[in-house]
Amino acid sequence: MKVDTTGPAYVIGYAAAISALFTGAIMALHVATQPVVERNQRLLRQRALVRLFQLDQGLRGGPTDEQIGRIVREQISDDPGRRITDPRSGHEFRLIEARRQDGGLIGYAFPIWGVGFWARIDGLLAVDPTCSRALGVVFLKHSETPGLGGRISEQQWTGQFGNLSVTPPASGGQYIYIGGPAPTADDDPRAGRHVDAITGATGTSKAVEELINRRLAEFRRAAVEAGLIRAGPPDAAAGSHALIPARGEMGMLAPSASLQVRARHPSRDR
Amino acid sequence: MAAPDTDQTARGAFLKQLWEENPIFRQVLGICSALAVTNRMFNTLLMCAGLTWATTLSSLTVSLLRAYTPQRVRIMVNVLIIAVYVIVVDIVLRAYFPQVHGQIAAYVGLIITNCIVLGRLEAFASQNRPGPAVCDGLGAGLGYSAILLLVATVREVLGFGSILGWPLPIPLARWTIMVTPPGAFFVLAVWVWAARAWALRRQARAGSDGAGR
Repeated sequence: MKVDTTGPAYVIGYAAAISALFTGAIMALHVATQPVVERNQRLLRQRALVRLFQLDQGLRGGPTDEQIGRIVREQISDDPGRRITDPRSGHEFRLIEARRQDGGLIGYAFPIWGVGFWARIDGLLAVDPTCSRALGVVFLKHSETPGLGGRISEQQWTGQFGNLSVTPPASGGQYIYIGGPAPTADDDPRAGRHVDAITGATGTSKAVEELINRRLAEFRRAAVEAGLIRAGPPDAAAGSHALIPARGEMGMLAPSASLQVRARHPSRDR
Repeated sequence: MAAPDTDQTARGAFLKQLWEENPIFRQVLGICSALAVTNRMFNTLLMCAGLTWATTLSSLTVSLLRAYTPQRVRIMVNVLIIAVYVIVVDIVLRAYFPQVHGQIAAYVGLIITNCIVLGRLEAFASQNRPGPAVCDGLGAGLGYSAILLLVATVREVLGFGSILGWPLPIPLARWTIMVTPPGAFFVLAVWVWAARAWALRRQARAGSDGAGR
């Protein structure tokens, strides 16, 4: 039973054999689950798109995979070939369109990406056809800290983005603001453009603010260049149709007035 | 590193890891993940399940191979074995629980470097029969889980006002510090103190044989 395990040939042979055996097993498992993983990723994206454009409103409970597939087929065009380019940065944006049942345009979605607190964040931002109002945002891939920055993928947080103003800001301003005290006056440049930051995740909140502002500016230039929207003047009187989020108690992430109405789980679980 | 283990019966090994030599409050191992994943009970449960799976199965594998594994490459082999079981968790989560994977993927990989797993392999599994080795690994995993869940319960209730994501019916002021990592230091310290105090009292009551650690 006892094997001499001290000889160099045995040591090298053993290490090689064990490595081959275990890595082989992992590779086999990886290959075997690949189709399921790819299907999941497709479904995740489809679900994200349906949620982004709120096309699941009429459905009771959570829509099934089949319902999601049907909605995407009928109402969303997500053609990888459809791209618009920002003339200044040269960045290309894949253009996703959503239409109502009657064919009317609901809006556009485009990829947003940037460096998060830990690693790259990928998501989609949806805007109305004139690119003046955000419809929603969804984060598809990130490595933010679970329970802290990771909450950017929770609907309770992303729900704040629906209906924000994304018209060009006055000079020196930003498209959107994340964190800081909520604007109280209508003439505040942040009115209608503010969402609460995530408590304990200032780095992630700042990173998301940065990447959304940058991609929005680029997308707007690209959309103007492609003739999708007209180049509008900067926002003179910001916040005319503002939804001003309520100030959170103790400076914590609190449900905004608009979020309480819209969020599916207006719970205190935040 | 843990004291040399002498109890080689399956039951003894299990109970020792679960309580007497509990990885968190006795050996103070695996503290990094204990601080990081305990602000939500759901994340904690998943992390604990992953770690228990990894310690149990890698203990079994290391024990089965112990007669053949050369001393000189044992750490490399052990880490490889742990990594395999952890990657299995990652792949299975990605394939069958994609939402969960999105939430805790960042931590699953960290199980590989969790000192508890390698500690148990070195201290016990590499020198004992498969039966006791499995029980030792399982005990360590569950012992870790028990303390982490206690920490997570306190942090989620005080930090988010919920239990396993379900909001509590009573209005509570949220403690931001419980959501952030420093909160874990306080809660963990209180639990470790409570558990040790209780263990010491029990020992003193039972105790003549001077096992007083």
